[in-house]
Amino acid sequence: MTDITSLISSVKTSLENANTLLDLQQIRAEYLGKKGLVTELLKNLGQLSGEERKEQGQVINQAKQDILSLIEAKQTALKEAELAKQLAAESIDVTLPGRGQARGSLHPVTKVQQRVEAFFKSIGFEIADGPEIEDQFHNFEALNMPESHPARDMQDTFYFPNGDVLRTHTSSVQIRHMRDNKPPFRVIAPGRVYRSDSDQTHTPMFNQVEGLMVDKNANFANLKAVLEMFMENFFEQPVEMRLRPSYFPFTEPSAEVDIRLTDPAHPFCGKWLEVLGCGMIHPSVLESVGVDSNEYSGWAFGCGMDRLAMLRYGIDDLRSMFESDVRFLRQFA
Amino acid sequence: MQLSKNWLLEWVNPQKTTEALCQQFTAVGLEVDSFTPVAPAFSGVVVAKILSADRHPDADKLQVCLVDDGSQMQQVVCGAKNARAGLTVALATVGAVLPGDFNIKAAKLRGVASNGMLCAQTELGLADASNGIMELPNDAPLGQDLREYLQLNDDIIDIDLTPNRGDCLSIKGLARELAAINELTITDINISSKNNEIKSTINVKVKEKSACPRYCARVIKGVNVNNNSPLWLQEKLRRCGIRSINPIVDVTNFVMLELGQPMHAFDLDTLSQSAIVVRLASSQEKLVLLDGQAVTLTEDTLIIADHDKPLAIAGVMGGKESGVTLDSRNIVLESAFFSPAAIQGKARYYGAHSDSSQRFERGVDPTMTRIALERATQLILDICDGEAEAITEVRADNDLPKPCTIKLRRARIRQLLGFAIADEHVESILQRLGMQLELADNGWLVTTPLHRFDLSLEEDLIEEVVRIYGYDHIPSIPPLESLTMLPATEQRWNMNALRSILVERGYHETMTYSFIDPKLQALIFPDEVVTSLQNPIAAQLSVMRTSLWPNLIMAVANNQKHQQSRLRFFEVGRVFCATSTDIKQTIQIAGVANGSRYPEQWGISDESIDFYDVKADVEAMFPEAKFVAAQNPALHPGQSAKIVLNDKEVGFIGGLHPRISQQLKIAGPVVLFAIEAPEQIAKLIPQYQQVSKYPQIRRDLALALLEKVTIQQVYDIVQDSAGELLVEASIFDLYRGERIAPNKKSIAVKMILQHPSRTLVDEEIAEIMLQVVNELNTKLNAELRE
Repeated sequence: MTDITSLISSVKTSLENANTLLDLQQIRAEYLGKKGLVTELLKNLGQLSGEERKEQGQVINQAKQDILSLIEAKQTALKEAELAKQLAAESIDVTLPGRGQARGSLHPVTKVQQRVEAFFKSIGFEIADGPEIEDQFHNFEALNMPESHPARDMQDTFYFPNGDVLRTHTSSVQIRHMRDNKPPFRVIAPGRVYRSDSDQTHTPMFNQVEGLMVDKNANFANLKAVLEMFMENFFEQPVEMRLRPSYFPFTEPSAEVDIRLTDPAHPFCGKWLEVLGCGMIHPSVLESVGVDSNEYSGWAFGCGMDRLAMLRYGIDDLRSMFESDVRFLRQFA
Repeated sequence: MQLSKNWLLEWVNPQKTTEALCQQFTAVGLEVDSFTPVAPAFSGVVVAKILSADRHPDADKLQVCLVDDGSQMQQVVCGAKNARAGLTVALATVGAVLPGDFNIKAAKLRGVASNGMLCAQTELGLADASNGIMELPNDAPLGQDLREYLQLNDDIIDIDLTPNRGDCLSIKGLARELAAINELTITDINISSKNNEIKSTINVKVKEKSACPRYCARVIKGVNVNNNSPLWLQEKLRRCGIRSINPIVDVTNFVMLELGQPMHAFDLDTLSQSAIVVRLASSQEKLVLLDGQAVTLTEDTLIIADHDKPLAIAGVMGGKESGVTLDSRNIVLESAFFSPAAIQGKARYYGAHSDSSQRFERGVDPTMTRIALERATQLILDICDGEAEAITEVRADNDLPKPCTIKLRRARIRQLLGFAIADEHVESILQRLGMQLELADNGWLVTTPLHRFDLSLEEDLIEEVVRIYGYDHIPSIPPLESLTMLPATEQRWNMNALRSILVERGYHETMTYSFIDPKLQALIFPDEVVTSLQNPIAAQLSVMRTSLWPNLIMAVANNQKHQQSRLRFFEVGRVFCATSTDIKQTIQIAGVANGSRYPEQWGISDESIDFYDVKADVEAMFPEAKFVAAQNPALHPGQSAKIVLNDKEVGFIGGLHPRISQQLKIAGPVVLFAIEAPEQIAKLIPQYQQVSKYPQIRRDLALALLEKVTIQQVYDIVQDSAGELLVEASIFDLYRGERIAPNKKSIAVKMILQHPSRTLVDEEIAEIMLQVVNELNTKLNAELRE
């Protein structure tokens, strides 16, 4: 019995000193291997008498089980220590920047245009497009601005030698769309327009979106409601709106629209901002595209998308939109 | 139109603050840009009279003046040359505060006591320049506060009038509008038409009756143009933004501002045979205008001529030679009605915009012709003396504008506005605006006043009603419509999707002008035919771009100047290519890349981009794109390709030609791409194919090839010879260097083989590979490497 007890305590001592799985293998061989100490004890059992052998056998087998458990326990402990070491070695600085390509950015006017298109698509408006070099018929005459009309002086026009112009407004797209389709119409036409003017608030090219609805009962009160929804959605806050009578040759009655933002966090909050022009489509415009102005009425608006972008993103110089300065552009990611 | 509030109030006074008046104007469509006080704040300045002015004992340039300020005598030292006994002046009394917080105190000037200051107009902020102290009329009441006397408690209102409202280009017109808003009536001026005994000596002949249906002329002889315009006249003009010139011109301007009727005065003695002929110009007739500009007249220009020469462009501008000068003694006053159609466009054509052309183009009240002439005569006689002859009037009633009668339907008001306005409002508003109403079926027959040239349709009347009724009262009513679904195709490329791909890959979208510098265009595309603007805003913005590249290249050059070294831009916009018949306006999406492949960062080496980085960007947008080597003047001849989609050339990609980089001082490789009309390119709808359940086999080939052999050639042969079992073939290594002959390159190709319905056996794989190697060897001289 003393033998067994000292055997187990010597296993314990060996295990305590073991640091690797290899050490464990050696200990296992030393005690439990073919020539191991325990194996030897079991071999010697044959020399004992029946009763004694049975008794001694139980003791040795129990000792064998105990040794096995001790070794396994140590093995688990060593494995865990090894994993912990590996994990410690593999830990990284998570504050190092992520690797790979950087993201670019969308032009602020595109961002505005995408939103405007989404708003109007959601209430069933199509998106139309038209040429930027226009003939005078589509840019002026069909819009009730005959040659020499004083309203032509309202817009400084770029001309080509053959008499064509760079469109001064997206209203020309109205004409093409209405002429090529049948009413009712619900359309917006975003795009570039041109006027020969240049200072902090005017560039010779800028972006407009034209909106148009023609139907049997399209009316001024509808126009006002749609514009209110548009502005509140665009600025994502309640907006006060003021319509002022104005004059455009292609609408009658006509209005300029001012808005006042109500969110105190917005830099322009509380100021009246001129944002767009609108009105009921002039009957002679409807007639010029073959729409019976007695049966149909319509409204239209034209809005500067650059202006919307400036108000939305706090841009203070219109010219900076067209200068391709990456330090400007990258801010609109 | 700029005007004095006080002058307006002489016509109608709604008893409102300037701000409230301005709001009223703006609310009816006469947008007030600004209002500013006539004079800056000052106090303590009174009307006074110099009783004596004596030389200062110790200063040559100073005078010691004894001044009567209405209640007592003051001694004031003054440096102005025009200070003299008997002059009525503006005296800043002790305690006065002048503009700029300048306090007037009792002082001694070179030993002489001075109690106050005699003021010049500049010192009171009344003029930008003045010569000496202000000279007030002799009848100015001594002791009266100057602000009160000169009506300086007045505001200048600037109204931005729309071109349809020519009728508001006068005090009378604006007063009419204000009266209509406030339900008041205007106080019209009193014109005493002089029963003139002196027979007219001017001979007026109107050859163009429809262009000039009414022409009145009057001769006034013996005028003294050297008399000064009275202060009140100068002040009214000044407050309306018109400079005082001489009393004759001042009076014609005054009447134009007051009544809206432009007038002109000729020097009678410059007219040949005392004749006035209203006719069209003959070709090549010349005239030097009042502004000094010499013009050659065209045959469609209505002119005022004498017996043998043009005197003025009718309704636009007078001639220099026949104008009134300080030496003129005898004048002819003109007041006419020219039809808008005859005048429109002429000022623009001759570059001679004037207050007169602005009014005649928009329409002048034809009933004012004679009244204005009488008004002007009265004023001229008051100021310049002289003797007026009778008026000569030539008139063609049939050609004069007639009142317009328009049917206004109650239902149409409701249809157009979306809400109803009560009859009594409609009637009251229209009547207040000077219209005659007659009840008719379902509405009214409305007759418009002659001063309104902008009312001819029912819609025009509806606007009049609603504008006075108040746009603020328009309700918001969302439209009720039948639902319609909009198409959204999957069979075309979508621009916003393409934009997103580029943004994800590091490109910044830019937007640049569609017109560019012809020199830049010629540098990049020397052989393109360009379309030039007739009136560019600047020479460097004068030709329409034929590609988005020039501005993208400049974006790289300009950003490099700002120490930005890694640049990627794209733009979506139209390009304008002249064809033999017209100009093709195609939408292009184009990009440029320059600088390092990745942003400078840890763990990735800092390599410059090349063709293949941008090719990958194009492939990310259009996975089916094919690239065929081709030449483009902007691109490096050995690094450029056409982009082909669905067997059609849709664009170009390549390195910028080094000649251009050098010229524009751009550092590092620049790679460009452009795709024409991407939204027109057909896109296939994916068609699902069964995924094979059987194992796929990979075989790699290492090949030595002549440099000139392209990877596409290798792919084509591998594809052909491997047959249907080939699922994928791709290059995964490319080597040039010591371990291979100098004219050769080595490539490694990965081949994936798979059978749709069974496992492949080694023998058939070996057979396929042998066939591929043989074909590559025969056709491309490719050698298998170990």
